[in-house]
Amino acid sequence: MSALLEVKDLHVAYGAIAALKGISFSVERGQIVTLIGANGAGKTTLLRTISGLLRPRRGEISYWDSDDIGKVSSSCSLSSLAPHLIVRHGVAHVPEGRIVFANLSVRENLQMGAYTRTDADGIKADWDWVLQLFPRLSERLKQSAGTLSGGEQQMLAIGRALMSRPRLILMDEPSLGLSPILVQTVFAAIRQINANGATILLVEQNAHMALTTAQIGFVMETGTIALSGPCHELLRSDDVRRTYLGES
Amino acid sequence: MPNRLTVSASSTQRTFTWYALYALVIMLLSRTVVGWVGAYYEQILIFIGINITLAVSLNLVLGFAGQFSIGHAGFMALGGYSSAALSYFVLNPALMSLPLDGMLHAVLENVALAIVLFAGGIAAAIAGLLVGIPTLRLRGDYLAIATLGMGEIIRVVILNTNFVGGARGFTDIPRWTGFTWVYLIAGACVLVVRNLIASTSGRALTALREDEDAAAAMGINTTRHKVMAFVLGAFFAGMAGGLLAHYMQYLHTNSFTFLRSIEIVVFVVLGGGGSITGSIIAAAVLTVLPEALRVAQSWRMVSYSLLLVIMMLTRPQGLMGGREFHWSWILPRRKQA
Ligand SMILES: Nc1ncnc2c1ncn2[C@@H]1O[C@H](COP(=O)(O)OP(=O)(O)OP(=O)(O)O)[C@@H](O)[C@H]1O
Ligand SMILES: [Mg+2]
Repeated sequence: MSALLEVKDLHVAYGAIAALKGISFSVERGQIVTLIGANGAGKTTLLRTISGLLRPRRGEISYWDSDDIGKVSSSCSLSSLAPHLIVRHGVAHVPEGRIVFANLSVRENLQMGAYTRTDADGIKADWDWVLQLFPRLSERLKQSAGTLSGGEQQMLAIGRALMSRPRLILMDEPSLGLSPILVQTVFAAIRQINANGATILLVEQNAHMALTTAQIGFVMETGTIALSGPCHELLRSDDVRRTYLGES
Repeated sequence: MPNRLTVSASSTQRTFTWYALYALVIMLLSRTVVGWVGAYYEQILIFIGINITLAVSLNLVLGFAGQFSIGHAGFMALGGYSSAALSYFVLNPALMSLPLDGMLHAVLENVALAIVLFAGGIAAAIAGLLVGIPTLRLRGDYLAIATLGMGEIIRVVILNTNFVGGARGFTDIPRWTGFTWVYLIAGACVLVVRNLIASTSGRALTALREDEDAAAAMGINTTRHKVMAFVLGAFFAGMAGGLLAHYMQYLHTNSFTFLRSIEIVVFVVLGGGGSITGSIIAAAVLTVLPEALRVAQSWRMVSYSLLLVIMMLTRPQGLMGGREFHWSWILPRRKQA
């Protein structure tokens, strides 16, 4: 296995407030990696920095671009690229709070996802796949996205990201505010997306679901990484069980 | 199946056919009805056409791209003054010095008008580019203040530029515009904006209006698209200024204060942001209304403002609420195959 993303000593601040204080970690190709941590730990900040929406004060984000068969073709530094260029390298971001284009239809939202692509056949294939993954969307193609239920909007946000055929997907709390049954649906989809070849960096509050779905986990605390390891080990750690799984 | 958003060759051809037909109708009207109604009503029709151009071009920026720009009068002034300077100092003297018969003179006059209108549009577009690149990074109310300031700066600079008349105003501009040109430009503006909105770039604009970060995360170069909308809007505002200059034969900076900008914003908001049809109707109605309200005499502007308030209270989403006119509204619907 090889690294797809490597973050080194990342510092991000909002004005005088430091949000990330030296974060280092790497994501291997083909994995699901999860980031858990309390509110305000800096998880969203980290994802927004990787996708270029925020600029780091210091630190390096390296990404190894590759073609479809996984051959590494180039390495690039994401921290110097604008967000619209980062997408073209195969990094998609499913933002926190399931942000969809509310006044566009479901169909148009999905089309926006493929904005950077020109391969009509590939787009068609991904379109079919997304609708197979989330059949509820195919019944609502003409509905405007703002009128979808919360769970449907989350599916749309994920589907839209998939339409760019990403190699790395950054997901920010996809289970936020969903009913238990929908959480299951969304996590099943995440596993399928990963099985289909995409690497996933998953930020979650639902630590139990996240740690049972991912292979590697990082625990963030106030802008730093406090703990890391394979998920099955984290699940057994007393610290994690007390703080994030609500066990005593 | 995702329908692709590409403008095919046949649709470009269709656009041209439509425009040619429209131009024909306009020319016919100018030879007939416009002549019959008399100068007063012709002037109102001309102001409607100019205001439609202003409203539709601002709607591109404000309604479709969601950028709260309120400096449209500044671009209009820049286009008006630069086109007038070009015709007054260069093209009109040149035209006068040629020993031409009536027919050829008329033809050349139209060519000269086309040149100065285009030049005015380009001058405004360049200003739009220079202003847009730094200010479009600002959001919401900051952008509004920046564009408002920009409009006032353009006005004050012109006010202090003596060779275009300064505080006295720019007089003796040749009268080259009439009904036909005003509506040819208005039609072109509607067509360009409509086609842009239906294109991939148009979809990108709508996306960035909805959520700029999410749009960037789709791979949309948000800055470039905002600047493009802004520059195109400025271009048509500049053309509108040129039309006004060569119809009124006189320009004064008092016609381009921020109140003028606000008036154009009102057209867009009242018609419904994101609806071209709405902008057209609102521009027409609000141009006619102050004239129709002349019966109210000194209460004219009060009743005008009152009507605005009532309209916004009863239809806060604007007349058209973002929708467009479609033939299916008046024609019986064809059966689905
Ligand atoms: N735009 C901003 N301006 C100033 N401070 C901010 C901004 N956004 C986030 N912060 C601060 O940065 C810190 C990290 O925020 P972030 O949103 O990354 O946390 P998070 O781990 O995603 O939390 P949650 O689980 O609640 O989503 C917080 O202290 C927050 O208050
Ligand atoms: Mg967050």
